[in-house]
Amino acid sequence: MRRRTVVAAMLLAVLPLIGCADGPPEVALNLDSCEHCRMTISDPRFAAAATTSGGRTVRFDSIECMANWVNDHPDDWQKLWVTDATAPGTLLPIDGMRFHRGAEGSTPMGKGFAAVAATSAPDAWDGPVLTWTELRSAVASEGLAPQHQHGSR
Amino acid sequence: MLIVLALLLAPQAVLEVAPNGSYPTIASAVAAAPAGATIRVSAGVWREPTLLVTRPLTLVGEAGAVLDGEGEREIMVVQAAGVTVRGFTFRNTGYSHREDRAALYLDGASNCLVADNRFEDTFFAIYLARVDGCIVRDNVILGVPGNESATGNAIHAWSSRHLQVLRNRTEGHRDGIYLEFTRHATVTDNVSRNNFRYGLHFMYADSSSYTGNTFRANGSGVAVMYTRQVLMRDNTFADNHGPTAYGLLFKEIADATLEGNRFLGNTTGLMADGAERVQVTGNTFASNGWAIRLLASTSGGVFTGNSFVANAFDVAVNGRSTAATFRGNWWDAYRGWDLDADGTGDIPHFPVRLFALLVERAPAAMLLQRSLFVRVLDAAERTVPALTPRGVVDATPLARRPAEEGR
Repeated sequence: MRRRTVVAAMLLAVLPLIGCADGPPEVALNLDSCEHCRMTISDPRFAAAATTSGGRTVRFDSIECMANWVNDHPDDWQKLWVTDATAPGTLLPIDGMRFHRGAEGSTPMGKGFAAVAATSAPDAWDGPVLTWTELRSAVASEGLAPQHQHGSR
Repeated sequence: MLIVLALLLAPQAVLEVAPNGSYPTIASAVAAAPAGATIRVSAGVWREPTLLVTRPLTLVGEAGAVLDGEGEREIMVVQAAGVTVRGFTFRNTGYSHREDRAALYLDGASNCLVADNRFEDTFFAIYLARVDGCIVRDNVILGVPGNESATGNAIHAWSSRHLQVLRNRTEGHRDGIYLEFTRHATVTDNVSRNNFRYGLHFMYADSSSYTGNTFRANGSGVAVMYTRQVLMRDNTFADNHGPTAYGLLFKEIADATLEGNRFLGNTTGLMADGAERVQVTGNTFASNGWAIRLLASTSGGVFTGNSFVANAFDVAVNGRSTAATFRGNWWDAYRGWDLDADGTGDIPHFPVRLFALLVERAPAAMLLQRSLFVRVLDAAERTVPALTPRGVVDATPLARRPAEEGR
């Protein structure tokens, strides 16, 4: 019985994931893992995704991981998607979003980046507002680990 | 100094909280209690605004003492050193997108003891932030049934030091135990099962160890990520099934010791992606899909005295250049003999099946796993090795399976 389950799971493991052309990509919580850090995607508030140039979907557990991946693969994507942290469950095109830098430790990778709709109230999320470009530069210069922790390492 | 002396000499104050007593609410007792006092809370369901503890106190729940967050708030926040919280049932914090709401939030509360409590339907159960020297033991933590998108971690430690996590049971949370920026933690004899992400999760948590724990049927058993110097001994990683499910995941780690553990019935037992200098000794890998997957990002691994039993694949690599040292392991797939009776097989064992290599390159080939073609392929490769990585070889495979404690 156990053996059969293991074999079935192995088959599942290798079934190619077929992307859907229209509509936002979906994230299967607690099943999909992050393209950049391999962590299982579990917190729907910070899930993100990219549609690659080849039409594949890659998924991320956090905005900081997507920023890292975009920095590493500047020409490999055609569309980016993030979650409105105040209304999780659906990925939204990155264009209509703004970013906050909330408390360290509040996101899966600990850096605290969250997205909310650009039209939402200024206090919709905690912390200073920044643009996607600023967010990418911050991740590029700081690395993945939260900032203040660098000093103590 | 005088205060400390006074505390030592004075008979310890005990404040009883009961509906018709001098302290009809827990908050009234907490407000009145001098440092060092004990507050005993009688049986009953207590619904009070979030309790704030800012002095060293011992809070004890008598049997049947339930603290209820009524689905809308944190239950107790501790901001003082030397606080004990024992014997309570915490339940029903509710969930918010905006905050990591915890039933028991300990902020800067060093030398705390959290023992013998029960947590039911709490978002985060025990949240330790910036604590030093806390002990969390013998708690039972049960998550919200069927609510996997809105659950936090059962025991969550952030930016903490010298933490002991003993004999807790965690179920139905995102992670059973999560150590983030935490150093010198020891995690011992806990049982984590049916948690949605990981049974135990390390994120930048150097110089820590976990021993004697059981991780069963979690999203994955344990993920050790971005961490140095981890000791992992005598744990059981069992029944983690799914396309990205691992008994144990290494991601960007260095200098780890994995010793005497059991990996049973996982899709992948051990997945190593970016692991440097890992010592893997005396473990048993049985009935897994892949016992061990080593990505090319992994280097300096030494595997000795392990047993590989009834796995579909014992070792898989994602490139011919992957190198790891295998020495003196027992492989049920070994096809040699020990004619000189020196305890090791007379010909080397190459644990990477040709088919495993094919599957790493073209996953859909898995469909052929049980086919005659694949058996012929493997037999041919064994006879005249041409494609499997020469770097992955056990020159001294054990002739007998090593004894395992408790088998």
